[in-house]
Amino acid sequence: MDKNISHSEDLTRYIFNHRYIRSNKTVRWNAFIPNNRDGETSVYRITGISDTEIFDIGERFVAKAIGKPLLGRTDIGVSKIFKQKLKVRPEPSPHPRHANIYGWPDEGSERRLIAMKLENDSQPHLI
Amino acid sequence: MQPQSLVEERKKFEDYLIAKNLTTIEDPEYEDSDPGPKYLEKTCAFINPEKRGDTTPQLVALASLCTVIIRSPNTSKYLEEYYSNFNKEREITGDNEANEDRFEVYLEAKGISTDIQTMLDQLTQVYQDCSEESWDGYDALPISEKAYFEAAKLIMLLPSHINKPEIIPEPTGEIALEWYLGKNFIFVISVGGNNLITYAGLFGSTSKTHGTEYFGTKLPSIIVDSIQRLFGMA
Repeated sequence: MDKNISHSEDLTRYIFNHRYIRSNKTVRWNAFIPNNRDGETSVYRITGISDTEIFDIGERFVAKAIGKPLLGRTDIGVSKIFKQKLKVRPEPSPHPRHANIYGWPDEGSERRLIAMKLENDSQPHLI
Repeated sequence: MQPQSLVEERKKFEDYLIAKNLTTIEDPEYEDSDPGPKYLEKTCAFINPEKRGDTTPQLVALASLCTVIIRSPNTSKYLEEYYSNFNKEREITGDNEANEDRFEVYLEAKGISTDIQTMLDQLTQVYQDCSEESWDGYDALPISEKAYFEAAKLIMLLPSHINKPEIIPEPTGEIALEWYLGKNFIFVISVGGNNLITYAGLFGSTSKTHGTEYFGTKLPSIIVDSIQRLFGMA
C-alpha cells in the first residue's frame, strides 16, 4: 500500500456493536468517536478492492482478533475526513490496509459534532 | 415472625426512592460511592411505619433487617441486587429480637410516566450491555455507574412535552441521549457522571451547536431550547 493516503481514497470503519446502528439501518456518529487509548479512530483503506474482500478483511483481521461478530461497516471518503480538519495515516498492522484517523479536537462536544458530520458523509453497509 | 408488608398501610414516603437518590446523588458524602443503606436511611423517611408508637424510629433502618423490593422492572434490578448482596450475610436465626424488626418495604415507581419508565429501562439495558471494557471491539471504556445514575437523573428531568430520545452508549464511557430526525437534523446530550452535560447538534446543513454546561439539579435551558429548535424544524 502507498505510504501516502490520497484524498481520493475511501476508508471503512467496521462495526461490532449493534448500538452503533440505528433501527433505520444507519450507522451512528458515535461509531467514529476515537478511542480513549490513543485518541484515534481505526479504519481500513478500501480503494481498489471488492465488497467481498472488504468484509473478508473485517472478518479475518478484526472480528476474529477481538472475538466479536462483524455487523457491518460504514465507508467514507478521505476527502470528507480532511474536510473536518482531521488527518489519516497508515498503520499497517494488523493489516497493510489499516489506518488511523487522528487530529481530533480535545473538546468532547466538538468531537461529537465532527462525528455527526462524518456520519452524514458515510455510507453504511450492514450484514 | 412473618414479614409485615407496608404496601397497603404504608405511610407516604418522601419520594420515590430512585428519584430521591438520583436527585441528591451529588451529595458530597456519597460522591465516590453507591448510595448505600445509610443514605437510604437518611432519605427514605417513613413516618411510624407499623404504628408501633413511640418505639418505632422515625427513620427505617434499611441497613438492618429490611427487605427492599423496588417494583420497577429492569431499572430496579440493579438496586435490588445491590441491597440483596448487602443483606446476604445478615441472616436471621431463631426467634430473636432482631426478627421483631423484620418487615418488607415495597417501593413503587409512583409518578413516573410510562415514557420515562421505558427510557429508564432502556438506560439500564445499555448500562448492563456496555459495562465491560471494549464493548464495541475498539477499546471502549465501560459505562460507569456514575454515568448510569447521572443519565437516569437526566431522563427524569426531561420535560414531559419533549420527544423521547434514543439512549446510546459512547466509547468514552459516557451515555448519550440522541434526538435524530435525519441527516443534518440531530441533537445529542451526553453525561459521564461528573456533573457536566456535553451537547452537540446539527440543525440543517449550515446551523450547528456544541458545548458543555454544568449539570446540577436542573436541565440547562440551552438543552431544552435546542431540542425544541430541532423539532421546530421538522
